[in-house]
Amino acid sequence: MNELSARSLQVSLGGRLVLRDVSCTFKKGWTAVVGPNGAGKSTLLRALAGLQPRAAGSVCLDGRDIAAFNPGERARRIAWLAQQAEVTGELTARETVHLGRLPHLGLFGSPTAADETIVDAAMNSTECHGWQCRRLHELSGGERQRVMLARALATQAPILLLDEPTTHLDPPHQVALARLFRRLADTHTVVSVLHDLTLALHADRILVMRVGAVQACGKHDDPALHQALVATFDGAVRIDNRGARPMAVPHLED
Amino acid sequence: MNLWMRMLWALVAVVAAGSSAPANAQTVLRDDRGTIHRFDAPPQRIVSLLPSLTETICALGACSRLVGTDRFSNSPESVRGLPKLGGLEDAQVERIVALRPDVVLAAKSARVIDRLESLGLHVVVVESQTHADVKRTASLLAQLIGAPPEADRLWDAIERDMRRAAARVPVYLRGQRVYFEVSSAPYAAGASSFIGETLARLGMGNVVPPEMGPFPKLNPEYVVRAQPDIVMAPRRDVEAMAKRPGWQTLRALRGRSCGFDTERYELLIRPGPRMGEAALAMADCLASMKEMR
Amino acid sequence: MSVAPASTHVASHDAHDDRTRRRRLVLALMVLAIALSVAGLVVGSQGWSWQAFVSDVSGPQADLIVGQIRAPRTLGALMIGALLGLAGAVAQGLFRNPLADPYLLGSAAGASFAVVLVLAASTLTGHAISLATAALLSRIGIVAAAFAGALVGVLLTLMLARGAQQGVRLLLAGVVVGVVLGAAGDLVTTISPDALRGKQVFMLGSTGFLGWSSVWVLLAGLAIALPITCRLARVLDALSLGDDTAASLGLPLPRIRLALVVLMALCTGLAVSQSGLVAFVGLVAPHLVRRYAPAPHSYTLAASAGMGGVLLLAADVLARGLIAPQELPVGVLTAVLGGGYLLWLLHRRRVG
Repeated sequence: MNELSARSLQVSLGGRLVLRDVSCTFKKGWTAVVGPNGAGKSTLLRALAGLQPRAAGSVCLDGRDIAAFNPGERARRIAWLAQQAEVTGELTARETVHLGRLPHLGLFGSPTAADETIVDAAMNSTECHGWQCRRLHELSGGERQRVMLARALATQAPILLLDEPTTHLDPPHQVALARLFRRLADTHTVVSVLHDLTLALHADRILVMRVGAVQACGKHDDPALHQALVATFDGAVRIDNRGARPMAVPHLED
Repeated sequence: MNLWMRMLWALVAVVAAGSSAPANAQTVLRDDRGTIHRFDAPPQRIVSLLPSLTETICALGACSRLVGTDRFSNSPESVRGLPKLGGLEDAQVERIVALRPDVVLAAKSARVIDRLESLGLHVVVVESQTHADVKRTASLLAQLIGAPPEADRLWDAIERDMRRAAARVPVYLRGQRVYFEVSSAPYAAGASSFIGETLARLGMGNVVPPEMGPFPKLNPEYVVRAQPDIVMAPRRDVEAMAKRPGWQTLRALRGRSCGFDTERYELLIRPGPRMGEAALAMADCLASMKEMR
Repeated sequence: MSVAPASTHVASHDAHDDRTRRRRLVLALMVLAIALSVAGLVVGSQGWSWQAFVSDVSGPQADLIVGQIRAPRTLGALMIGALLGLAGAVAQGLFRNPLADPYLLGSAAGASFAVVLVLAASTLTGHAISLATAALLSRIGIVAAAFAGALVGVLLTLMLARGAQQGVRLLLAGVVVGVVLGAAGDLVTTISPDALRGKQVFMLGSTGFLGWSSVWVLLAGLAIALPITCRLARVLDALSLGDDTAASLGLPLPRIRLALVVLMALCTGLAVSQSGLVAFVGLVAPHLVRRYAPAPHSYTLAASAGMGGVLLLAADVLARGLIAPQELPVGVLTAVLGGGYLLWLLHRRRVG
């Protein structure tokens, strides 16, 4: 149920092979995707969301090829959050989050009280309810990101593909979001691209990517994963295992 | 020096002065910009950038001196084979210069005037908007080509045609008010335009009074209210006029309208030496209108 | 991503404030529409004179002057402005570009080329087209030609862009089609200079000859286009978040973009076939709405139509009234009115 998988996925952008032979499966729980810049993390998420045409391989949702789903059905199963919000127009925060109900309302459905409740709940969970009447382009980067995340949550899709949802957030909000993902992981499939490795190590599973290929995939306390992390980041980080949970620490010595 | 030698030198001086008298044959004219032009000899190679000026040169008998015209000059037939040098806005400077003209004739609004003058060419600028302008232009150009009497001959011919045209207008149409439409915006030819002047010479009135200017852009309602007795316009526009809202009430559209084809229409809107012909064309159309009881 | 100032320092837009502004704008537009319609009946070739109006209405020519000339012209201007305002709002939402206008996708170029062909038909006979084609073109008439030309222009743009997949490709294709058809039109007027006059009249735009038949056609077009477009308002909202996000929300983007382009073409084609290329209305009406009452597209589309109608009608009344019995070109007045009001709004925002 709600299993998203990629098999031998190959994607090229502008003549360059960005994803080479990527195979992975995402089930219920929180998976963090990490890797250096240009590793193909965003492209992987887009391909999984069905937004990126692929050169070879397949993406399957519950065993069916994702291209076989009609757009509405796919949107109800998978919610995708863009890395950067390229926002134009005059929508308020609430109106933006409301658009998350589009997969259910379609073009012509009228919103009901239930929809409003869902929108409220989504905004509350990312703590952006306070400025729901402000226009998107007036908000700061972090505020906007929380609104867009609320939009993704409002779709109530069981699979959430989030591209760098925490990048512009201050530490308290990063922590709050991490806690949110943990809660959602009980019922949803959450896949998030993260740059903060320590945060990523709180996920159920970590997928390490480099140069378009999967280097490793494992749980937070897997030593093979730690080795892969250090190797992938060229020794710029080291894993500190002394605490209750492993931490990734920038390796600044010598 | 003794007295005889001094008288001899004075005689020599006088003779010398006398023999340079040919300087008086130099043509001096002032064009419509106010620029003074001096020509040592009447120009033999002429470029004209305005159709009415082309026609005037030919009407003055100097057609053979034309070496190039603008693209719209198409009368008389003989100029159609001459090199076409663009319009007033996009005259081909290089080609004009390559033709080595002695003078270039243009209208005030031509962009190339400065350019051509900086390249050393004489540009005589003429503005030709009214009957008086046409007469003045004719005498200016006649002076330019060194044949001043031709202007009078030309103007007399125009006047003769005007009088003949006026005579051709049926008595029962005299004084009736004409609506002359120049373009379908609608722009009309008012009483103060040269078309209006021609109509006045024919003894006709005009629905557009002189205070509205030569070619006003009218509110269509004005024409409906004015109920012109006669309508003159390009044929295509006349045919479409009855479909205009409210214009079906124009009595003139039932038998008192002149729809001119392209060639004749061009003749009518060009203020030049063929004004007499234009007047005759208008008179012919009027003459074909039956008397209404 | 740019970092806006921290939220606490910026004055907040209350939801109540928003709703009030939207209501006020609708009210203002309705009042203006009614007032200008009355003005449209009063102002004629005798200018603003009330006595002249009274004598007109009580005179024998009342039905002719007021009923057959002024009334349809007034209503026609209102509806043409509405069509252009609606098309402009769609264009700006579709391309996410505040400089977009309804003439972008080759509709204006196609319409003027078709008009030039019809005008030059008789001269072109023998040169480029056969006698039969020329006869057909002459019968078609300017109005039908302009409408067909606008649609063909947009069709060419769609073909060149290979469908409505990408906004940028569509825009570029529109520019190319515009330039090519413009050049072709210039070529035709070079061969047949007497078509130049008619072409200039068309390109300047005019509300002078709108009769009741035009009004019915325009009303039908607006009655069809407005509801359908407003139904697609949510699409334009979703598009404002980015193409990918809109696609991820389940919208079949290529088909929907195509539908919006077709609607835009129909509105624009209908408008230019009746009044020629009136400038600026489609560009500025959505801006005026957004500046005063920012809102999602479900509001903005209809409000832009209203604003466009009011703008063109105001320009038409002024065009008739200022130098009566002469008329100013209505395109000049739309630029002055629309541009002037926009400047004033911008100034107020900065000060207040």
